[in-house]
Amino acid sequence: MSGISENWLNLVLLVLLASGLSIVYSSRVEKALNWWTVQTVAVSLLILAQGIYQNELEVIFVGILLLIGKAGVIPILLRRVLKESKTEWVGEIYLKRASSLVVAGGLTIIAYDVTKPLMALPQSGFRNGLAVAIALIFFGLLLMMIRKVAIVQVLGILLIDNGIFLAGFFLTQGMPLLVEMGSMFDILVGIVIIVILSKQMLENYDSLNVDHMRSLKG
Amino acid sequence: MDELLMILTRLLMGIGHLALILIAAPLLQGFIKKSKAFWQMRQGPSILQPYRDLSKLLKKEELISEHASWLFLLTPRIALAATLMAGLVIPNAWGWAPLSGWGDLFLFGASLGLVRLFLTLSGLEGAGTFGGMGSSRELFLGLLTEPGLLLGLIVLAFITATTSLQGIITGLQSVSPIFIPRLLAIVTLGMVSIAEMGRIPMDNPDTHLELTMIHEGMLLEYSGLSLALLSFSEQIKQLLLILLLAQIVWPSGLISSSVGFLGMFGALCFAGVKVAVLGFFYATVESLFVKRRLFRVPHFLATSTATAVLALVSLWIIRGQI
Repeated sequence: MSGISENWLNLVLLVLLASGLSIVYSSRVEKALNWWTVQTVAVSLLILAQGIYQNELEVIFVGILLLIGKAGVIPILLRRVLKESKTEWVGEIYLKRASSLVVAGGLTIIAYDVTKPLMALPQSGFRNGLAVAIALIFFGLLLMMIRKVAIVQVLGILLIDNGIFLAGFFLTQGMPLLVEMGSMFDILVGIVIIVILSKQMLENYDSLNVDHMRSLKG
Repeated sequence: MDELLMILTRLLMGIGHLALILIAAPLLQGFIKKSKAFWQMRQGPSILQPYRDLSKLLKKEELISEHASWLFLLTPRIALAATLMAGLVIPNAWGWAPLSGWGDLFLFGASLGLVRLFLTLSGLEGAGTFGGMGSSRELFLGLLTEPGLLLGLIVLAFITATTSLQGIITGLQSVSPIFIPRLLAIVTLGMVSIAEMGRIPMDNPDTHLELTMIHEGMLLEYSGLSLALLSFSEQIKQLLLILLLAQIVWPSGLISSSVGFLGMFGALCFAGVKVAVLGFFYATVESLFVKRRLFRVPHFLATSTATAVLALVSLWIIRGQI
């Protein structure tokens, strides 16, 4: 798996980790969405570069699909809902931004600790990559737990998806095309459903705050 | 006899180094002013204006408050001397510094700290309200900038395994420009330099508006020769920071490869272009952003320090040890 030089790999990983942390830290939903787009573009560029270096048409195809499907379609859909709801607040209720950033830093260290047994991966940069991928999964879980606005929770799911995708990439060095397409289609359909649901939420409660859902029980 | 000749040459080279810094500092200031004027669609003052300002101030009468003590007169001299001392460890266009031994980078930090100490003391000297306010703010800023500045340089010292700035520049030539810790250290130093130079997101160098000034507040009581010395030392500090940053971004230690007059002249031009590009960059930053509220400043500086810590951690992760 020679190909991308280690310095470039580390640079891409830095972009991924920094954008993940920025999503956790951002104060506006729109900013978080922009950071997620940046992250997805970085992921697809990584895949594309790997495909080009290895001359594998399948991997290049997956990269292009990622660039169009995830970095293109999903942000447009989410932005449309966001515009309708006029939501700016990210819904920080349980943890404020600064303390959630500290927690995210702690989760990154845990991710590095968890991946210690995997240090024997073919390229030493790959262990970093796996650690960053697991850190992204943790960030997504954290975001879903501590934020109250539906769109931000969706961003949490998308972060987890990015993390899982990266982990798969670094562990198996290119999954079969069918699996990739399946997972991508899954997430796309999931997002479409969530967008429809949040439109329903907007109609019923005029807000994206998930706390309103509880009042149904009454 | 040979030894004497060696010492004499080194002395001459050192004096040349200092003379170059002294000549170039107001030029850089003029260039930054001109670039700002370019972004504001003005013609702006001539590039040589800072020289004229300095010579005008030298001729003016100096007024000293009757409450002021000897410290008030001592400060401008010490500020200039300490800034020049910091200049002795900065590698010049040919990657050569007159003082290059163990622990240079701490000498650099300590000299800037000495300037800050005397400036804040003499800000209190004139017993004016704005002086005290300026001093208090300067100390507040200094407390937050110095960790970032030193930690950023220390990361570079770890990368190249030497604490002399000349050695760092030479060592960086063989390090890849996208090596993560190096990139993060450059980001840190770039952010900290803004605060150290007193430029716009932190402090506005062009205003004497009471509520916002930091550095100017301390100089409010000064006039004549002392004011000239103080603003000159500020310009030199600006040149040193930009030169250091330029040498770290594109290191060019040409001491061995550039033989002959033409090579040396080429190296000088290259360094001049680097410094001018960075100066233009800072002028652009200054034109694009507004000055931040004082209580937002810790956010900015904490980000720079956090970047430095991140650089240290990533160095540890990539190398497996420090």
